[in-house]
Amino acid sequence: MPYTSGPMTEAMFYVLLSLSHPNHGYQLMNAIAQVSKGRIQMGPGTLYGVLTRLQKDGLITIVEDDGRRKIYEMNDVGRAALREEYNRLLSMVQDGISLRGEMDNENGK
Amino acid sequence: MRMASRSVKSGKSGMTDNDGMKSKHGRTGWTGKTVRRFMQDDIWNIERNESWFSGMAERGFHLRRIGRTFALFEKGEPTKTKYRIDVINTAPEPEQLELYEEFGWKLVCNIKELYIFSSPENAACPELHTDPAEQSFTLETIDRKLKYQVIWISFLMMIFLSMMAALFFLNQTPTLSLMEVTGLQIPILLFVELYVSYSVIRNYVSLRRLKRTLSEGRPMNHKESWRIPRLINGTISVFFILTAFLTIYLPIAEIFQRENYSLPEKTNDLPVIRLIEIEKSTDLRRQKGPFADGVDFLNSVNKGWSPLAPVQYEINENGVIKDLSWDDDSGPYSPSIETQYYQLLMAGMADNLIRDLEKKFIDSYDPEMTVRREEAEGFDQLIIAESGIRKQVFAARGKEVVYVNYFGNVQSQELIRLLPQAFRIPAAP
Repeated sequence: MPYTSGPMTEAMFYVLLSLSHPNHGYQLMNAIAQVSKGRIQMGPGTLYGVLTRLQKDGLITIVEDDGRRKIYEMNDVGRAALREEYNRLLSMVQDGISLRGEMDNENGK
Repeated sequence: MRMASRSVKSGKSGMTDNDGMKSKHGRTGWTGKTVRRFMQDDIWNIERNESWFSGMAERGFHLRRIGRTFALFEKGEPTKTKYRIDVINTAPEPEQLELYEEFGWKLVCNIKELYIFSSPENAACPELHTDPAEQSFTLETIDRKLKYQVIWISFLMMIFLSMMAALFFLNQTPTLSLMEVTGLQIPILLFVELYVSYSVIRNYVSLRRLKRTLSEGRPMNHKESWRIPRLINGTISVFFILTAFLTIYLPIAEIFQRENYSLPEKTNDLPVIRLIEIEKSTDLRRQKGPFADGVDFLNSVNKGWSPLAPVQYEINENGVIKDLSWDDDSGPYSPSIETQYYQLLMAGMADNLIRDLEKKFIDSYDPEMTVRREEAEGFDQLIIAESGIRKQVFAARGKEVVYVNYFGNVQSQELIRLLPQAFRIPAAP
């Protein structure tokens, strides 16, 4: 079932992005910081909130659970959803490019 | 001096002590005295509760456990502590709590899906939640649950209210009902139940408001002021809890206040007009009635009590003059009098009570019935209803209301002359 819940939150986008490789909680926090070049320092509450939701929506799968630690990975549904979100964001940015000249002018004033 | 320096020292260590406390393992590690505090505020007013917990920690009371009505605190050194209430819908695995702890957030306690974490105020740990929009999703399950609760309670209240409304409008004598404890209990219960549904709705509104704020991307205000709202909500709930207890206590109090005994020969202290005063005949004898529990049924005093009419009497007297007959020769002349006395809490209720007594006792189907209202000195209201040998008098003065129901040959004017005897509070000069 494809993901249909509309635009993703920033947190969701980055968790999903960081789960293109199998990962567990603690590593994920670092991976997110890395992939966002330090821009996002995600809180642990937010991380687990997102993980719970992604699992519920079927965008990620638990690939390993030794009872102490769970390792998550994005599945095909998640990959498709991420690609769609990426395209949406990309077209948003492209649509905004037309404003670039204007905004530069304003900044120049 | 020594005391002061010691407390500063332990103040520092107290902070690490508290942080090191493994509160998730139950009572272990609790060394201080514990105190209970009434929750007062809505449990779903997360922001206010967080800042309340911080406020308590600042005064040396550290949250240990939380329930629906009470929160348990342990007395220790004052610390500056941040609290965060997180909604975790699926019970967290140890891995998750470890990660929280790694980032500076220790679990204090939980109640169902509400998990409370704490961290020293100055700790440089990241916020528990860094994405408000994402956080708003954690409130979705509980939002749905509370919504059903609100729908249910509104539905039940509607049924309850329409039942009450029917009872009220079908009741011909509402003021008279309020003079009895059972009649008073119903509106009090209604009042309490209205409050219960109001608090359920208020709780839901708190949650909705928070969810909307978060979904709009605005972060929580962890330092929302709590003093005034807690005081207001607390006062209201204490008031209603006491009211609820009152409804339980009322019938018990009534039983203790109630008295029932045979009418004595001399009744100087009772608000009553005696037959002997009316008939003025030395041949008048008491007509004894059936006895129940040692009380003469026809010559009895019933003392009652209710909050709105703290002094109530119902006094019956039946007499007979053997050598005299009724005018229609239906047997020996046997006059009787019934006096009902109410001393009200507020004089303002007297008019309505008189109206209800009239409605209850005047037989409107009796074609011979004449009702007249008289202006009489010393009474706020005076109504006389007459039909043959039956004379009914309704009178009010200040807080007192009297109803006299007399069967006999004596004219109503004589009853009115004697009426002041049925009042206990002396008339104002």
